[in-house]
Amino acid sequence: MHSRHKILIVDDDPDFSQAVASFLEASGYDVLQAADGTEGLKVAKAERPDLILMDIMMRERTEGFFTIQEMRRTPALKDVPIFVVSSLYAQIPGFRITPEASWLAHDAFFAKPVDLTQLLEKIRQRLAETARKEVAP
Amino acid sequence: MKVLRLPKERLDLFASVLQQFGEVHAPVEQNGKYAFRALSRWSDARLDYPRTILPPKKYFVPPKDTLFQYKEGLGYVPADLAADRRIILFGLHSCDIYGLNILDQVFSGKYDDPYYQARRKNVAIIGVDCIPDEHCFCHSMRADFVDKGFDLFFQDLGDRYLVMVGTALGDDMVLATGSLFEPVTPEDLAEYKQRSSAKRKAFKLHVEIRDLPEIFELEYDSSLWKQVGDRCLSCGACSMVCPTCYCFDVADDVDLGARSGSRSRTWDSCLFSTHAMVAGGENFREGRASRVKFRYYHKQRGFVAEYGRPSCVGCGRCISACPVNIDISQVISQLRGIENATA
Amino acid sequence: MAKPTLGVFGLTGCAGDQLVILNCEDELLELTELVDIKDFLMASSGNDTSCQLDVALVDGAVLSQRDEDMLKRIRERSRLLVALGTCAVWGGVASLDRNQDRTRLLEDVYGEMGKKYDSLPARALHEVVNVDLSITGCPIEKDQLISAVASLLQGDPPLYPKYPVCTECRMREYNCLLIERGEICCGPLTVAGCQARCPGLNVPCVGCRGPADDANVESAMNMFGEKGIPREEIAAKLRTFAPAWGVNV
Repeated sequence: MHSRHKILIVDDDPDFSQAVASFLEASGYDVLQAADGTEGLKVAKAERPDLILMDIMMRERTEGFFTIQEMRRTPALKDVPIFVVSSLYAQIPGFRITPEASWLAHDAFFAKPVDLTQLLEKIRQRLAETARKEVAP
Repeated sequence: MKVLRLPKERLDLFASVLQQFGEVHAPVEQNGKYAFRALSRWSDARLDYPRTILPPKKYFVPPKDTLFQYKEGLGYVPADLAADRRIILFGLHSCDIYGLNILDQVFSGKYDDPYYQARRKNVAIIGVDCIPDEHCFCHSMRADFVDKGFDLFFQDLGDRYLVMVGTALGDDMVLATGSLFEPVTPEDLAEYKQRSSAKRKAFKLHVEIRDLPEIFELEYDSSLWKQVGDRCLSCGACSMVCPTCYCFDVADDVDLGARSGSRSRTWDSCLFSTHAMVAGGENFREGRASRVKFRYYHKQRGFVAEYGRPSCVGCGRCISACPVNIDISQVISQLRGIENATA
Repeated sequence: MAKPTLGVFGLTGCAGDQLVILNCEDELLELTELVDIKDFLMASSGNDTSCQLDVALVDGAVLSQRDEDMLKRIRERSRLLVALGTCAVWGGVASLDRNQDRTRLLEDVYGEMGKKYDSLPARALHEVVNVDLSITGCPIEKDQLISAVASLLQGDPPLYPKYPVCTECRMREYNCLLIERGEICCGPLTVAGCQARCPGLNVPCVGCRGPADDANVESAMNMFGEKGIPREEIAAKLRTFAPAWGVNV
C-alpha cells in the first residue's frame, strides 16, 4: 500500500505557495509549506519530504541558494530532489544558473511564472525515478 | 597578479556561486562580538567586523582535536579529519592571514603535522581589508598587508571591491562567476592607492619592534615582570584568542572497560601553572611573573630566533580579551622606558 | 581476578554527587560489571557495612561528630578514599558560616534545643583524614566520574584540567560576561571541567567548582573593585563554596 508522496514548498509568497499547494494536493500529493529558508530547513529535517520546491528570492535575494547548500550538508537531505522555482533570472539578466551549471546542487529549474502542468509532469517523472532506484538498488 | 573589480551589490550572488567550492564561513555577529561561522544566508555575514573572538586557527587546530582512537580488535583507528569537507573562509583580515602563514611555518617544514595539513588543504581563504581600531597594531608587526596565503583578497573601494587573485583556486572561483566581475579602471587603482595610504595613517597604536628582541634580552630581570605577573589571572584567554599561540597538551582518554580509548590534543597556555611542569613535579616556571615574561619573550624574541620574525601579528585580540587589561603595547612601552605608559 | 570493591557514602550535604553516579544511565550497567559495589545506601538496600573496600567515594562535608566518626571508619576500611563534590573537596555551601560563633548560630536557628545538637563548623574531608583523590563539582561532572573510574581501574589517577573556567569559555567562543557586561563572573578564579556551561547560557560563573590551581584572588578583587563592585560582594560569592579562596573582607 503506497502512501502519498510529500512535497515541501519553500516560498515567501503566500499566494504563489498556496496556489501550487492546492494544485499539487488535488493531483494526489501531501503538501507542506514554509515561508523562508530557516523554516524550510527545519520542516525538511522534521518531515523528510520526497521532493522540495525551493524559491530563491525570499527575505533576501539569494536566500534559497544558501538554504539548498545547507540542506545538502544535512545527511538526511543530501539526496532529496530539489526543484528551484524562481524569477531571479528575469530580474538579474546575465546571471545564469541552469541545471547544466553544476554550482548549485539542484535537480531542475523552473522560471516564474510557472506552468503548473509542466511542473507536475516533472515532479511525477522525478519521483518515479526515485521509486525505481529504491526497487532496484 | 590578476586584479578585477566586483560591485558590492553583487557580493551575495558571488557568495552563492562560491558554494560549489565549499561551505561558506564568514564573520557573524554574536551578542555584539563576532565569530566565524557557517552561513545560513549571506546577510548574516559582517565583513566590516573589527575582530572575531577566536582567530581562524580554530579551523586548523581545533580546541580539542582527536588524533586517533583505539578499539579492541581494530587496533589503531586514525581520526576522521572530515578531510573531504571543504570550507571557504570569507573575510579574513590581513593579520589573520599573516597568522596562518606563521602557523604554516610551525606545522610544516621539519615536522609536518598531518592533521593541520589535511585541514589546510581543504580550506580556501578569501581576505578582506579593514580599518584599524584602537587595539590594532598589525602595521607595527608588518602584518597589515599580505602577499600570500589567500586565494582571493577583496580591497574595499567604497561601493565596489578591487579583487586580487592569489592562487589558481582563486582564479577558478573568479572564472566560475565570470559575468559578475568587471575589469579594473584607472579610477579604481587611484582609489585603492589613496585608501591604502589612509589606512596606514589611521593606526592609533604603534609598537616599535626593530630592536625589541635586544631590549627583551637587556631587561630580562626587570621588576616590570613581577608587576604584570601580580596582575595576571592565568586565565589563558590571551593564548586562546591569539592567532599564533599553538601550544597544545596531549592526553589519552581510556573508555570504561579499557577496550577502547582515544588520544587528543587540547589548547594549552604557557600561563597555566602546569605548563612548565615535568615528570617528577619539577616546575621550571612556577611563578606567575616568569610565565608572563615567557609568553612575551616567546612571541617577540624566541620565535624570532627560530623563525626569523615575531609571532605576534598585532591583531589586538589579547588586549580586548584580558579581564585585567594587561596590554602588550603598554608592557613594551614600559620596557622601553617610555613615559606615560602603565602596564 | 576479583573485581575491585567500591563503596559510596554521603556525609552532610545534598547527596547530589551520589545521585550523579546513578544518573550515569548509559554507563551504569557496565560500571556494575567492572566493580563490585558493596555499600551504597542510596542505590541499594542490601549493603555490606563492614567489609574492606578498594575505593570509597564520599560526598558531603563533615558537620558533626557523627560525620567525623563515619568518615574515619570509611578511611579505615578503604584503600583509596575519594572526596566527591565541592562539599567534600572544599567544604562547600555548609562552610559558608564556619567562622561564626557556632553556639550563637545554633541558638539563633534552633532556639534553646540548638545548644544540644551535634554540630561542628564544616570541614572538607582532607581536613579530617587523608584523601587520595578529589573530584570537585557542585555537582560533579558525569564524564569526570566515569574517567576517574576508568583511570583508577587502569591504576592511574584521572587527568583533570587545572586551568580556570575562562579557558573553557574562550575555547567555546562564548561572549565574556565579565568584560562585555561587567558581570561578577568568578570564571577566572574557578577550576574548569564544566565546559563553561553557565556563561554559555549567559549566567555568570558562581564558582561552584572551587578554586583553580593558581587563582589570583587579589588581582581579581582589584579588578572587580575597579568596576565599582564592592569587595564584600565578591567575598560573599566566593565564600559560598570554598573558604579556600581565602577572601577576607
